[in-house]
Amino acid sequence: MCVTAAFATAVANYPSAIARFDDKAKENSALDFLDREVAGGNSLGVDQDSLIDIRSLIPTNERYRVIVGPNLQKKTYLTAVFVESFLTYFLMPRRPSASARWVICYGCERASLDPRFEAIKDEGNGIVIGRLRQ
Amino acid sequence: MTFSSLIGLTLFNLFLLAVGAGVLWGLRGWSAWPEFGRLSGLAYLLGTAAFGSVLVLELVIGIPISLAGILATGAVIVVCGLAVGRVARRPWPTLGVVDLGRLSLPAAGFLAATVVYFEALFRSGRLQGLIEWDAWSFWIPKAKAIYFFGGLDEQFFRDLPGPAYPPLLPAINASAFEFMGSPDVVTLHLQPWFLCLGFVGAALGLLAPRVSWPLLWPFVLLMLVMPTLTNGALQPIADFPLDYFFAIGALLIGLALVEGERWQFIAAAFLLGAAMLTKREGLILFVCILAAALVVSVGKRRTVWPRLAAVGLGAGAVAVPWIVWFSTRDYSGWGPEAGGTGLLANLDRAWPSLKLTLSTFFDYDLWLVVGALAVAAVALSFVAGMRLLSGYFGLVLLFCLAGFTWITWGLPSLPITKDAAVNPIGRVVGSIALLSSLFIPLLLQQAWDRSDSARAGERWKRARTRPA
Repeated sequence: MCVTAAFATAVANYPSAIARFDDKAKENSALDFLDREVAGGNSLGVDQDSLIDIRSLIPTNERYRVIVGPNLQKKTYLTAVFVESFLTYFLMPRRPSASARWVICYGCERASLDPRFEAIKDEGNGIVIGRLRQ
Repeated sequence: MTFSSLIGLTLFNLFLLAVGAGVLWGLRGWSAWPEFGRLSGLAYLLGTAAFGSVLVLELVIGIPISLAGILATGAVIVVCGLAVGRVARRPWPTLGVVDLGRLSLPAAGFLAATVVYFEALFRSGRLQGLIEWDAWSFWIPKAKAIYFFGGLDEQFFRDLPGPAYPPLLPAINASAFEFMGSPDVVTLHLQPWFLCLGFVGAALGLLAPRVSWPLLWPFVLLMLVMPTLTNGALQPIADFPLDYFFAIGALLIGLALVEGERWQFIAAAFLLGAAMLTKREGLILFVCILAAALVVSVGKRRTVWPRLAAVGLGAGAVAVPWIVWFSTRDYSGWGPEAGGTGLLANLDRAWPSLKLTLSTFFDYDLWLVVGALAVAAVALSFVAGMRLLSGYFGLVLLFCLAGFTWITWGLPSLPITKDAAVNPIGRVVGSIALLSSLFIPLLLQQAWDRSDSARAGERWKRARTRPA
């Protein structure tokens, strides 16, 4: 009876398991490079293009800091809370540091930034990438 | 995913298989190459466990990780295995013969269903982005830190969530990055595929000589289609690797209690040591196995208890360097916040925690009918008089359920809910769900054979094939 129960349950669930894998494969194939690269960041509402620009602009051996503020134009309730954690993963091997020269203003108040701050790229949605003049 | 990354990842897993072959040769050898084929899943898991454990030791000591270092580590393990085999005077295995004619049509059908399953699972993961929260939050960043900086980088390992979490999985993933040539987190989703394949191969390899195929295959398929496995098998987090090491380690201890083979105890020590270096819960699971084995073997304590003590010391020794490393850095998060006398202050959580654990184990939407069948198998085997294995497995279940209850009870900040986003109970129970899938057919076979002790004796005798 145990074997019958196991066999019947396995057979009943097998087609849906394979279908789930097929659906997942199709879903993943339909994604573009950015969607796949950003992945978990999409659920946080982070801006994909900004992420790629940040990664292109900040050299891999440099440190950076993230200043999050209320001026993000496109966001979810998770963005401000978790964007810094996500950037820690996404930007490695770059290191986060409170005294870094590179600054990622993620919706921050520009007026509150160090006067030496020089914007290098304004993403136009509250996200500005720049660094402190030496 | 790039093709070159996939080739690199495949080579890495073949490397782990080669390392495991060295370990297996040292432990027991094999008389013919088809026998190695049957045990290749076990060899792969042993290789992953041994290589991962040594790598963690290297990281703790401060030896930088590089591709050359990884290859050298693997080579040293293989050489040690070959040396042990030479001392034991193992004869070189013969080519042997694979007799496919004995494969019946229904058995071929089950095998085909398993192949189709793994093919579909592969396709579902080969272009998967890193969406799992715990994966991008700390498991993969730790792997990247090891890959980029060659070791347990102070900043990242202190500041990332879970500083006390053991680093075996990040070390394995960092090694995979080395073989791939880049930290390709998309292709990395196939590393869990290899691990799952190795686990199923190990289970089949150990059970096939001891359980007839009509009893074995339905439970293998049942395990594969459990919703939690189908949904989570390819997540690059440590839950399922822990479950694989635990389940095969516990199975080996069970077989060792019945058959008394020394290599089974030692192999279990490798896997259970690796379990403790995979997740903190590994320690709870390890204690549960050891306690259950000690209780059921009290009648054979003169011969068995020293071996179990050796397993305990061996597996424990593997975990000690890591525990010392993070303890000296004062990292928090090793145990539940109220795990000691704080439990008494939270007595009102005791019964709800137990109810939560039990209802999770018997939840059809998570594990189908595995929980109920586990209880039935224990009862049937026990009533049939096969008390040793059923008693051992039954106690492992009981102790683990108590341990999981303690986790929820001892963390007052954990809501008492099955919601995986806020309580890990669904994930931790996975260990005994997988273990149950392995023990149910074994116990049922024992109960079935009870009616024919000659057949039972012959089956177990055949299972213990040893090199001449």
